[in-house]
Amino acid sequence: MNTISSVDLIERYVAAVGRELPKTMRGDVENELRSSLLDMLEDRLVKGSNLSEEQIILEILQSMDPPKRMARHYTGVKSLIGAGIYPAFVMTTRITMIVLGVVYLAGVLVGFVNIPSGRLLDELWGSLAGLGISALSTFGSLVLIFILLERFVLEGKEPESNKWDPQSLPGVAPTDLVRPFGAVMKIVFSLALIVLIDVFPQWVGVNYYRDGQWNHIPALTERFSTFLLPIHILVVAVIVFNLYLLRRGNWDQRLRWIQFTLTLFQLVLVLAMIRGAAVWEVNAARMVPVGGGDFDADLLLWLWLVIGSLRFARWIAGHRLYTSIPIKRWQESR
Amino acid sequence: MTKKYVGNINLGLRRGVLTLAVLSQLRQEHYGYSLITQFREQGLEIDQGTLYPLLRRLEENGLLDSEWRVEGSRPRRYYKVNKEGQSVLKTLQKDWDQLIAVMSGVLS
Repeated sequence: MNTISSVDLIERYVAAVGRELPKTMRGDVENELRSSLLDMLEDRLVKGSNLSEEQIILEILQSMDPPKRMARHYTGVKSLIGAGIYPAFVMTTRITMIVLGVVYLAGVLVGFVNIPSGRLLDELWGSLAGLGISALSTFGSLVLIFILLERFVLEGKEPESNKWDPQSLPGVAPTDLVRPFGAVMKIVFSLALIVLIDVFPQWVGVNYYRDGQWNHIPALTERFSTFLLPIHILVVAVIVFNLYLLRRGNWDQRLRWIQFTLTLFQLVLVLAMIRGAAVWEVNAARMVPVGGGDFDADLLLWLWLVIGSLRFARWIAGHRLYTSIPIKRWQESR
Repeated sequence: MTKKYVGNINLGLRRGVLTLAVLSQLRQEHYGYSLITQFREQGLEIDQGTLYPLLRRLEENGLLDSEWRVEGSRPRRYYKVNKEGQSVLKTLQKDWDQLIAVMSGVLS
C-alpha cells in the first residue's frame, strides 16, 4: 500500500538529485525540477486518469532517470568522487594533513633538543622532505579510499532506468537522512586506526626526528594487547555498519539501536582501558633522548570518555530512543 | 554490441539536432515543460534529463536568457533566445540547410 504523498515523493526525488549536484547549481536545478514535475502531474490530472495522484507521480518518476543519473546529465561528467561525499573528502584530507603537520612539527621540535646549531638546517631539510613524501602518499591513499567508496558503495546501488522504485528514495526529513559526511569520516578514521594499531603500533607514542631519521618511543603497554580483539571487532563493526548506512541512505529505529549498541560498546571499552594498569604510558627512563619525564595519557582517555558520554546522551535524547525500546515490541509480538 | 553502437550514433545525431530545435523554439518564450509538450506535438520526444541540462548549457554560453516568474500557484523558469542566440541560430540554420542539401545528394 502506498503511504507516501505525491508532494513528498516529488520532494524526495528533487532532494535526491540535489544531493548529487555541486552546491553552485543545486538550488536552481531543484527548483526547476520540482516545477517541471508539478507541471507533468497537472498535465496528467487535466487530461483525466483513473489513477490516484500518488500513482500518477509514481509513474512519472519511474519514467525518469534515477536521481544519480539525472544529476549526471547536469554535471556532464562521471566524477571519481561524487558531490555526495566530496565535502567529506575535503574535510578528511584537511584533518589528516593538519594532524600530519602537527605530528611532524612536534617531532622535529622535540628532536632538535640538544642538537648542535650547525646541524639544524640539514636536519630541518631532511624532515621536510619526509613530510612531503608522507603527505603525498597519505593524499593518494585517501583519494583511493574515496574512489572505492564512490564506485562500489554509492554508485553500485544505482538501478537501471525504468526499473527503479521512487518509493525507496529516502525521506527528506533531516533526522532520517544519512549524512555521507559523518559516515565517510567514521569509515576513513576507523581504517586509519586499524592501520595504526596493526602496521605502525610504534607510532603511538612520542616520535622525534634526529640524525636523518624518525625515532619512536612507543607508548602502548603490555596490557593494551589484551584489548586488541574487542578493538578489532568494534572497528570492523563500525566500518561495515557505516558502509551499509551510506548505501542505504536513510536511518530507521533498528539502525539507531545498532548505532546505540556500537557506541555503548565503545564507551565501555574505553572505561575498561582506563581502569586498572595503564594501557599507554611513557616513563622518564625512556624519555631520556628527548630530555622529558613521565608521560601518562590516561587523562586524554578520560577526556574522550566524558565528551563521548555527553554526546551519546544528547544523541539518545535527540532521537527519543527510549520511546522505542525493542524488547517492549518483542514482548508485544509474543 | 552493434545495437548499442548504432544507438550511440543515433544519440549523437539527435544531440546536435536538439540544440538547433531548442534554439529555434525559444524565439518565443517557453518554460521547460511547455517546450517538452510542444516538441511532442511536433513529433519530437525529448526527456527532462536531456532538455534541462541543455537549457542550462545554452544559458551558460550566453545564448539564452531566463527568468523565474510566478504564474498561478508556483514559479516557473522562462527561457528565450537573446541577441547572441538569434545570431547563432541564423548561422546554425544556414549550416543545417546546407547539410540537408549535401546529405540528400549523398544519400540518394
